[in-house]
Amino acid sequence: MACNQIFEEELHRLLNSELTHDEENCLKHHLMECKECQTHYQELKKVDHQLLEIEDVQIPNDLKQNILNQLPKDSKTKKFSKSVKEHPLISAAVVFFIMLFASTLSSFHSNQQMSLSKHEDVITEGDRVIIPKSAIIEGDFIVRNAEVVLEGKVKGNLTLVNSQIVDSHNHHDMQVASWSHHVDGKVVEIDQYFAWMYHKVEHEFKNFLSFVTP
Amino acid sequence: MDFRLNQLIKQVKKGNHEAFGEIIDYYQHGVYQHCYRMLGNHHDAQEITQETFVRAYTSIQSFKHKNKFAPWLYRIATNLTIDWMRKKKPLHILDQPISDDYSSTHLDQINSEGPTPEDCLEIQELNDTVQEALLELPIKYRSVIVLKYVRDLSLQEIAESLDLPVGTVKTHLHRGREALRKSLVKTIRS
Repeated sequence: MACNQIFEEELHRLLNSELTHDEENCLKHHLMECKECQTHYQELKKVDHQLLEIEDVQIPNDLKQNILNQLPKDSKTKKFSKSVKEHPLISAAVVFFIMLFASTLSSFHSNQQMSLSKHEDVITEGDRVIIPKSAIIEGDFIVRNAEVVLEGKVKGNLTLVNSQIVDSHNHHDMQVASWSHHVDGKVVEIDQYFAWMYHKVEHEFKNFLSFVTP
Repeated sequence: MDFRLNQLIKQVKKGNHEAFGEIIDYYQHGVYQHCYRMLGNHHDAQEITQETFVRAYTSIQSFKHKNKFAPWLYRIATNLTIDWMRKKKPLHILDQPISDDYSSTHLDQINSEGPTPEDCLEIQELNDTVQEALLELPIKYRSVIVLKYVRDLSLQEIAESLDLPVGTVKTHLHRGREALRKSLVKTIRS
């Protein structure tokens, strides 16, 4: 039986047609000499043959219909969740933009009150912020929803959110260039940007609503 | 077929039942043969074939484009047959042999169409012997043998279907053949 064990592996490889030409010749030589291996090979060959000869059975006629009847029907919510699963990036982007629009919108509405960076020398009168001649503001200065009378000095940037600078003497708007001797950094006005953004967001949101509600 | 199949799978992922019907047309024969040879009776084979396709439909989203469809499908079928064999010893009302020396079943009698069994009795007997021997094999060898001979899959495809390395598939194939050889020798002697 020892001989069988060595060649058993080879016999199976022969059935799998995995042997090289040389290996096959070598094995066939051995089979001619060894009766035991020959019987083994014959039996395996017969098993192989029988398995190949197995006939297909007939399938039931109602197989397909039964399967189709068992398939789950797609509900609308399921379809929606399916499309979300199929396009995760797009879904994430849509959610992100909706959140962005909503937060911009709400922050715009809620921030109608006047506010400004805290500083000792600055005087507030109603919705007017006065930076007196004596005042020197070291850092950046931010004003929201107010009129600014700028007489002192700002060493950092001056940011105006929904605000404008008024000249206490002439009471008309001045060019940005003429404030530069009061402000060392940049003067940034955001009211235009916000108005535009608000308009844009509102427009898109209305479009979106008319798209969603038929 | 590959191109058409990809189209169909895309449709099925969107929930199209008709596209899935075409996939059933193409694979039902093969899956049924596989289940029948694994389980050995029509009742269970039909049950598991149906469940295989329903499972394939509900988990089609997990089928990746780069994979081959047939091994994926046979993997579902094989797992279901194995679960079935482990969990249930189902009732064989219609599948019990009528008597010990007659190798036909009640179901075969009900379904019998065409020529009487006498013509193909010899083939039938051979098939039954092989089937009996198959059912005696351990499940892991049986699934490899069935996929290889009944479904004619390549060793690589069998490896994908059973989630085994190709080397293990070969070992199982060899051991399965050896086991069948031994039972063949036994039947010849008896």
